[in-house]
Amino acid sequence: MPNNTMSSHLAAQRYILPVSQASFPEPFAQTLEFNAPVRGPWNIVHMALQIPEAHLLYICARGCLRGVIMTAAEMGAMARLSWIGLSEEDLTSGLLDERCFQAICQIVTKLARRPPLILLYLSCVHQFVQMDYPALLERLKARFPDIRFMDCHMMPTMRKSGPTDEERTKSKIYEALDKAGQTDARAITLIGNDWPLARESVLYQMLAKAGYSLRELARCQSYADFQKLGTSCYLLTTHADALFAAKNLAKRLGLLHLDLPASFTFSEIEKGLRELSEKLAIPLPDLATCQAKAEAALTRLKSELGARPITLDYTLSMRPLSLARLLLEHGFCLVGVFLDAISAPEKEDFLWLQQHAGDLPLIATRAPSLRFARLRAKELGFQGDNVLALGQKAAFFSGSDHFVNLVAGGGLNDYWAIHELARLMREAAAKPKDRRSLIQLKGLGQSSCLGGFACEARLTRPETSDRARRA
Amino acid sequence: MNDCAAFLPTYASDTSGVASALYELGGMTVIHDASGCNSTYSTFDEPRWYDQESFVVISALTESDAVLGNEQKLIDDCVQQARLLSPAFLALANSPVAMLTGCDMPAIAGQIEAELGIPCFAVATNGINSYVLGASRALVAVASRFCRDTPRSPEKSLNLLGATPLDLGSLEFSAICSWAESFGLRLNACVAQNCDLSHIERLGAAHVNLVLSSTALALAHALQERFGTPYVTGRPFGFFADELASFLLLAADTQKSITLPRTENPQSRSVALIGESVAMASMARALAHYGFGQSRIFCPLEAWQEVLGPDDAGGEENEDALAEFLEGADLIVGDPLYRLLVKEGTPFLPLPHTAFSGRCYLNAAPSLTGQGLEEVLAREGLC
Repeated sequence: MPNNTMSSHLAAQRYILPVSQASFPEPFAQTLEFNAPVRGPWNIVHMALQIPEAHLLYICARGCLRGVIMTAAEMGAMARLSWIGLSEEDLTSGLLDERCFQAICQIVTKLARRPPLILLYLSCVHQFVQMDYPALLERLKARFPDIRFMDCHMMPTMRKSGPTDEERTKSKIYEALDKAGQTDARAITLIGNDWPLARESVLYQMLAKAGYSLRELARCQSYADFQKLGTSCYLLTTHADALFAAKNLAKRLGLLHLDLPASFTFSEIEKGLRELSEKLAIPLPDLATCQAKAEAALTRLKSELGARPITLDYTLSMRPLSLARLLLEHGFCLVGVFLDAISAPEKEDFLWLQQHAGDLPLIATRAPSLRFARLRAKELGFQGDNVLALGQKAAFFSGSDHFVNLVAGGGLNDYWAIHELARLMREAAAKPKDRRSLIQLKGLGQSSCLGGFACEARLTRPETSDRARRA
Repeated sequence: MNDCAAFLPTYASDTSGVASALYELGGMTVIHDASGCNSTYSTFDEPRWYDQESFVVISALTESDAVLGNEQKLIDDCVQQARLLSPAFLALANSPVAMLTGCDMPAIAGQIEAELGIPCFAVATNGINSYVLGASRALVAVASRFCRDTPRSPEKSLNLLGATPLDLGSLEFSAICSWAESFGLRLNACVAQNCDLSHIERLGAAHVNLVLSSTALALAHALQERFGTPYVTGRPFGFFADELASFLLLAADTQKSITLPRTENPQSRSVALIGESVAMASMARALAHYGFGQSRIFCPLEAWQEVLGPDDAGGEENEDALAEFLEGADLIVGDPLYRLLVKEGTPFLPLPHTAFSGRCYLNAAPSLTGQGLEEVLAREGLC
């Protein structure tokens, strides 16, 4: 390869960029990827096992099976996950469809208890050999009329060309909902969140005070509870990765849908809550007071942190750039944001940062160079316990034991999220954590044979693990 | 589809085997697979991932690059990153999708090597086979590129082959290293834990190779062919440690390989062992001392007939076949996750195996070398 071509490639592969030079939504060129030893974010197994009594069945090559199987094994949930391994001959014989059907039948008849729902995960290779999914599902439906089969997909090769596996799983989870029974005019379903909504959030308080019950997957105790999610009068989403699911579900069941992005920007929070108030015709609390309380929490935090450097990453919250904006607007010393892509709801925050904080570094978490501590120390310019890290990846790359240990927002929302995050930041600044142990636990908040429950946000504990054990 | 399970995990795949075998050698291992797929290896199959840096990356293969055969991107990315980080070599491992699309990895490796001037080789994998095959092929490939023609060492010496963390926990590995230097042979090289590329370079200097896992049988064959070095298969469990040491001394003297002979005593109790063939064959020998003289092994991995006997079985991960195999045994030995298949009342000796149960029992894996086995048996009430 000519040298001049190489130079331009290298220039395009910078993995630390001032936000002013970054492009939306992919700031970094795609190249080889490093996988940081950070395991808190949930995967498709954690998400799917939230459906009470459901069973998961994966059909793929061994290398693909291993990750999902061991996720369940560490959770102590192997009784809820089965697998079928593909051989080269299976893929080339032309008999894949028939063999899959027979193997599924074999597995299902072995299960000690017939599950009401089986999430059947097929993989990239099925797509490449053009397996006939609908025909397989029809045959299974005829063979096991008491079980509902959902064709789910684990297709990481398509991760960058459509919905991610996580988005697809969230969509498929809610595809299993039927329009069973009458619509409950006093119930709202919040869909797509891994963690139950904090009861202290303004969103929850508004609904509760107006007499609405909030239904969430994370609080379902039985399959019957799960089915009730489809009988509410309204669907709410707060996380962008659930929009795909929400739109599909709203259309299929004829439900209304309202998106209230879990933002850290006061104007966006207010806009969402006002819209909720108008759509449901329910009272709006004194938002100025709510904001003042959040502002006070930030002021107290600022007085304690002073100019202490802060880093944050995309695993902490679905809105890392909104959080970055909040911190910078309130005078905090934010020195870097770790992310690999920018989601659509963050575009406005991204543009704000470009305009008002153009030097803020965006740092790719998958960059091979960041595998090496000597390069991290040299390239990042910050390292060690002086850094207050928000999120597990920020903690790892910053080399700091002072970190906030949350993933996917931890159930925090609106003004309460800011208030609670300020508390967690104060705690993290004052007291170090066992970073090495904590960030290696798979699926933060899930039960794990490697260690105890590790969640620090209040009232955000999901009940999946207990259900997994019972099952 | 003989591999299926309602309750049990599956073993680590061939790509994990490649990465594990080459982890400490200073190279760059590229798994040609989709973004995120390296999480499986780095989370569950690689206990060194957090504490010990190694250049193992994924190519982030996309659907469009696979369908359109855009292999130039893989080449460009490898060349660019290698120029930035200067690895000693590059190793490429293939995934199921790249296998289906007919990705020609040896040709790609050749092109990368021509551009970089750094050794680059492909290891034949497809994400379908087990770690045994991947590690086995990786060790042969790296040895073929880096092992030098060196004279035998002045003192009698041995190599430890097949010591990846997928098969040997850190306690076990330390104990084996201490044991290996306790009976008159000097430790020449260890492949591939607590080592670097110089260990590969001097493999030919040893008088005998000890094959600790079936991942190293092919390497032992290659070294025998190239240097005439004999090998012995086995793990020094319990009382078998002394016997194994004598086999090694004998092989070093006679320059003839010794494959672990199985002993059978029809009058004694029966034991069924599940797992990697070399480890389980060694455990069978060790347990014979405690009255379990009738042994049979179920090796769900690629079977190595050289190690397994006529009554042994395996080659597939099938719960039903395994459950049938275990019928009637007086003792069952295997990873703790196999306990689900053990009938109530049948004694079970749990031996954690990282390639199977990943991190689940990583901190509970005991050393079974020498007296370590007796302590475990006593704890389980088996002696």
